[in-house]
Amino acid sequence: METLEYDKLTIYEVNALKDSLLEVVKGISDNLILDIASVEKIDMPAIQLLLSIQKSCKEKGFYLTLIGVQPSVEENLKVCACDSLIGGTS
Amino acid sequence: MSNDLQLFNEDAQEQLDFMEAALVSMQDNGVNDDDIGALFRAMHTIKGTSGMFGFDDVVGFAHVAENLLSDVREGKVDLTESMLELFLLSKDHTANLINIAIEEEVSSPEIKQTNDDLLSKLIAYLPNMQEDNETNAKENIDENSSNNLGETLWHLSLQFTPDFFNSGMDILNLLSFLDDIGQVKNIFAQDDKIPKLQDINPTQTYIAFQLQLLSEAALEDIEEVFEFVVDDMELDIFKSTDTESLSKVIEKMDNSQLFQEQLIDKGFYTADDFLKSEQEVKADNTEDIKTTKTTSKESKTTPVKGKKEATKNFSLRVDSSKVDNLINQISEMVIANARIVQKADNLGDNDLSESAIILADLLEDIRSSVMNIRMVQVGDSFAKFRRIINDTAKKIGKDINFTINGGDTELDKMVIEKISDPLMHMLRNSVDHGVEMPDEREAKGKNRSGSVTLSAYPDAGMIVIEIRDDGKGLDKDAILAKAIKQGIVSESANLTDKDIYNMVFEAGLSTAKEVSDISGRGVGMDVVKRNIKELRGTVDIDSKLNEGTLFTIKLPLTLAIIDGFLIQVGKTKYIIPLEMIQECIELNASYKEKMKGNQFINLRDNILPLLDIRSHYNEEESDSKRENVVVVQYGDYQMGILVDELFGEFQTVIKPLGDIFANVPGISGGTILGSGDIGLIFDIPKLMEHKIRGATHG
Repeated sequence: METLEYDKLTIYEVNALKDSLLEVVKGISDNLILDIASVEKIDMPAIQLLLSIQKSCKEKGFYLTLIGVQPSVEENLKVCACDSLIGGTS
Repeated sequence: MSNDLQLFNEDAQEQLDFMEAALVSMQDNGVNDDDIGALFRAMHTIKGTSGMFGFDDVVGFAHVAENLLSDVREGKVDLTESMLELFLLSKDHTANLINIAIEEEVSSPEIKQTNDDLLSKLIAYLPNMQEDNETNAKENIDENSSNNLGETLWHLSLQFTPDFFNSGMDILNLLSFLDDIGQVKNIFAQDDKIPKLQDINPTQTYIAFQLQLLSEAALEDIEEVFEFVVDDMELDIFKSTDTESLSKVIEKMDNSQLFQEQLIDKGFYTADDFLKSEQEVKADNTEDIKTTKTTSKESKTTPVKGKKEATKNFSLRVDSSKVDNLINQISEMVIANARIVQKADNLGDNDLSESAIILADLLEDIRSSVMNIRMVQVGDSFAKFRRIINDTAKKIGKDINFTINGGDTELDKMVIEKISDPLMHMLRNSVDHGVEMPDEREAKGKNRSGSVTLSAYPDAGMIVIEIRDDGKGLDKDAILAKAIKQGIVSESANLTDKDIYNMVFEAGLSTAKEVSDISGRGVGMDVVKRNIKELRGTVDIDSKLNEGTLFTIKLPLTLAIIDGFLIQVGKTKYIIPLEMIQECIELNASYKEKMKGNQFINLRDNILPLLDIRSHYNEEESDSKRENVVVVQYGDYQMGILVDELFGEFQTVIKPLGDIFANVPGISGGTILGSGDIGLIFDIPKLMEHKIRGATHG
């Protein structure tokens, strides 16, 4: 499990987030669980990056699951029909 | 400020202006459906666009105001005088909220207080909230159970350019806003193009969306949501029944087959729909109109309508510096061409002369077209004074009828902007000091409500703006006494009424007995005069005690180019603004004889004072054998200017002179002549002032 220590995930954080997860995803050997409990705000660039991570995991046969999702973030994910990231079943 | 935010701001200001215009119009002319509609639309648009930027405070407030307006529009609530007042305050508050949102400031406690006050007042007007909620809830149930007739299931395809994220608009806001204007029935994120983590550029946009929106909104309303980002995306909106548009969108996708499957998979359409649509397309192809279903008919009419409206409202927002640039460049071309004309004349090359003159005509056409871009009707900016007058009058308990005449008069935008503040000041003065209190008016046998008129009309190459009130007029004696007290004039000075009236433009002179917060601090009128002067304009006062005051402002149509008349004195060439020239006469022997050394001539039995430029500016003697007098008129004064040579009309591009010339009275600027020489432009009013002073003092 990886814990993302951000209070917001926006276009200003996406580059750093990508860099910090690149190695993790490369060497992935199990379903990836991201704890985003500290994140209160998320925007489309960040969601897009999560989808990219999801894609990379799936390719190796693993799931991406977000846990500790705050209601405001969940709302945002629902608006763009990306709430499958939470369930991790997709 | 990002580009989109700037656009938003401009749009919002425009909507706020619409609101104010509608409200003020209703205050003056009574409540009417057109203005209510305009008011509602403006509030609705502000709510919508603010929503897209996530300005929740603005949306929250606008939402309540819009609800009330919606009820007003439907006739559920009557629009009263006090509600108009409330909406005016709401409009101001909305403007504040927008500013705060744009500047990313935190609302001050006062703003929050105003917000709460206004909200509770607005809500108080809403018909029984409880009941309303219940009906709303009922409607919602209806919506879910059956499609209301007014609703359409729209299909939206949102594809974004790779750098869409840079626009600063979050797609999430767009999507949640769609949720506000309708019900998003189906939505899916097209993630096919999102690369794997090692290949992704996280700030580039790969994602796209397909969604179905059930809404009463018209096509234009939905398009409006994307108004600010439409250049950064490919947007397709069509009715879900419009199979033709659907197949076009499907064809556009890289993997059309997969896309079609996704649409079925996500519940947008059934497999049967696609079978049907194929048949329909076939039917369409055979052009058998009778078998074409109404659905595709609809799809054909919608885009056509959209197109028509687009052409009707087509206007460009251009940075004014671009127009200025163009005017400058054309001005330079006019100068360059003048040189060609002169060269051709010197060479005696008739063909070249002719071509150059044709070119000069064309340049003149272009020049006037470009100048025209800057010309705007004064009415729009005059309209905002209505509110100020009404507010001011109300505050001090006066009743004012404010009339605007000649709103369609056109004037350079820059001139309008610069004249706006002085005008506002003068209008306030008229309301505050000019017009009397209703009781006082009645006692004088006047109508209880005073009238203030703002008029604009063109006159001989100038634009005249008049402010007329029917108030108490200027108190000549009071002004004079004050001016003497402040040492502006000496007690013994022999002054005409006009001289005295014009003293109100002197700094520090205010005759208001009490300083109010509206006017009377003695700063203002001198600034007004200075501003008008900077625009090469003039301002004049006329007044009759107890009958009223008339301010007459004369402004040049434009600032950059004047029609001039080229003359020479000694070795220097000068330009006289053509519009001030009455006539030119040759100073022949008979005139000279009659002058007997005096500085005036007898022109058709009128005394015409003469200003000898040669001695005035210490010019050398010239070789010219003839002397000429150019008769100029400004206001009521006529004067003759004694010069050597007359060259005729000259298109004069005004160039500012350096600081060194700042203290040379009578010269307002310079220009470059065709020969490359410098020509100096006379400031005729200054020269006259000099002449008249010289005459009275000497």
